[in-house]
Amino acid sequence: MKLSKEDIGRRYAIAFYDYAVEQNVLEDVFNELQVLKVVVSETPEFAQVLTNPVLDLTEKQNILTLVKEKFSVTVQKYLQIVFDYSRMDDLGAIIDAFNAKYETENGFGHGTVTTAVKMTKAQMDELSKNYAKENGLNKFSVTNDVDDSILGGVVLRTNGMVIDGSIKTKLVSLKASLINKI
Amino acid sequence: MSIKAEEISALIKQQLENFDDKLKVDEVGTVTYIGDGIARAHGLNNALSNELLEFSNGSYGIAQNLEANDVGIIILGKYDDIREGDQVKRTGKIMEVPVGEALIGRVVNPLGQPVDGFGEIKTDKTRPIESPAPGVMARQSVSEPLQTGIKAIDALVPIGRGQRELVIGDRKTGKTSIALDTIINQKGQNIICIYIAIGQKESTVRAQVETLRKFGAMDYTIVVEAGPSEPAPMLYIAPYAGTAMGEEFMYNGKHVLIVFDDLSKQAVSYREISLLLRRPPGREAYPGDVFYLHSRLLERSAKLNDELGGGSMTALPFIQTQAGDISAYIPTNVISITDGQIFLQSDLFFAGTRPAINAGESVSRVGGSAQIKAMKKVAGTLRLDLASFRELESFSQFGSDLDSATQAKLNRGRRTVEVLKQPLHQPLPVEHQVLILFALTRGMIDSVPVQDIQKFQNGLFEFFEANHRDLLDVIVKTGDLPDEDKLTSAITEFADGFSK
Repeated sequence: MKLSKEDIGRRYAIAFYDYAVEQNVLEDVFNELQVLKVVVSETPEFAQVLTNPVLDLTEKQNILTLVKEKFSVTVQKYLQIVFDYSRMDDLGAIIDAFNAKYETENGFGHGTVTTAVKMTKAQMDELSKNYAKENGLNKFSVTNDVDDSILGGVVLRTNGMVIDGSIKTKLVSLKASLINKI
Repeated sequence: MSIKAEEISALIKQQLENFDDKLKVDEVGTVTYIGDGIARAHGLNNALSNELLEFSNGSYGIAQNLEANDVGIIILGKYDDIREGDQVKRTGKIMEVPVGEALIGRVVNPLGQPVDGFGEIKTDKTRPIESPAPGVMARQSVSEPLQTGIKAIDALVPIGRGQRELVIGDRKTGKTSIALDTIINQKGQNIICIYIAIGQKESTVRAQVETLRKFGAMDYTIVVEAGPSEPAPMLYIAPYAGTAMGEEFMYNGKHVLIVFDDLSKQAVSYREISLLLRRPPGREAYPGDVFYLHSRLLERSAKLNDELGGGSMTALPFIQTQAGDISAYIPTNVISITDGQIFLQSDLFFAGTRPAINAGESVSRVGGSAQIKAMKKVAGTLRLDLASFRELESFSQFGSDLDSATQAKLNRGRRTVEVLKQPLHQPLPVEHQVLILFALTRGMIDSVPVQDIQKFQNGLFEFFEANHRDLLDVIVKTGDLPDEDKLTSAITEFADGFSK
């Protein structure tokens, strides 16, 4: 059976992560991969062209050489390996898996906060600081989503968890409990 | 009675004071695939196997496949308004159904919700639909009879309380009729019946419920219904849900009869689910665990030991065969799980032998020890007689010159077949069965013409009810035959009158 993108991503990412740690270039590699991720997600043709079996290998190699020049030696080597195994199409998944590994290893987290009115920078900092402290994380970053249908309060979504402190949910459960008991 | 506004206000105020104002923390996943009663969801990293999950449209699902990247979920109920990207929430619970006395007399779906329009079922007890079967020490051997009221079964393949007896046969051979007659015969026997219709036509189920109601059998019966229009997961869980309802009574020391009508359809719906969940197909495209599907279900029917209250659950699983082939995959599986089988044959059915039980291939591995003594005495040689009759019958077609011993055997055989015939929905009490079988095996109806046997039988019952009820009472009370001379002379008295 064909491996899923996630499986491939995880395999390549773990190898790369461990290599980067051994070479002591983890932070640089991480930052470079974020740039690469933007490239991959904004121009999906890039990865598609490089895995297209119809095109000539040397031509593809030339394109890759042109692109990889801008990165550090470690990333250059790595891109070459991914290219040689024709996994360029899965580069997005590989970077996602790398980021996930980076976050869990370093105790970083990310979440989305939904509020009825836009949060100030100070409020967001306060929230991430408290969440990180509560959950034993080193750093927690949040992005703010505005949705006035929740009426008030906050809803925090992170890593498969929803912490719901919205006025809407409270009203719904208050209604349910009043109907149930009377 | 007038309601005072202040009272209501006070009540609401009290409610508000007690209102739990905590943050709601949920673990959620995202639906990545939806269709055919199956969903896949990304996330839900901590979901348990068989955990109940809630979709954002209010439908529930059961986590089936826990994989590295996603969870395979079977959906119970509406799935056409679930979309890719919807949220699915963990509930932390294993699927449960309501159980208890309140369900008796009701028609429910596999989730325990009423479908008979008689309103809400008020019970606060629930049981998980999947639960381990009682272990070795929790059981005792089958010892009490479960009277089906059908002569051919009670005499040839007796069923004991706690036994699992497979009813197998082609379509339209009278499988369901056996179930209904058995349920009707449990009136006043202190047995709770559960009839589980899996993939049966809704109109048929309706007719069956009406039949049960007409005979007053709904007073002690629960009908669990999963129709063919419902998605496969509902059909798959129906027998487990029904068994959970039965277990509640069994563990409270009561006796339960549970009928699975039929398990072939459940196996087919499980195959559908498994293929959609991309589990590898095996023989006849059934998944590898199709044996376990039925064995874990039927193992839960048991006779409990006295410390546990001595309750029992007798199971009558049904299997539909194709063209009488009992060596197909599912039939052989279920035959090996159960304690015997009742094999119904369509050519017998169309020849007018109803119930169309094939005496040669039907067996009951444990029921013999649950038969009452009187029945054992009169039915002991019946199976062999019937088998040798079938053999002789096919030979006798070649020639007409037969010696008198053979003639006598053929005579007796024809009468045995006739006596074992029984009309629909007329179960017989055990003492009547013993009476007619006594008359048959002692040769007292050898002189009655074959076409008059049904008439003779009915007359005999009326005669005994009117004149010799005391002899019948002996059978009911002691379980043994009354004084054989008295019985013989009473039957002869009637037979003499009948032949005149």
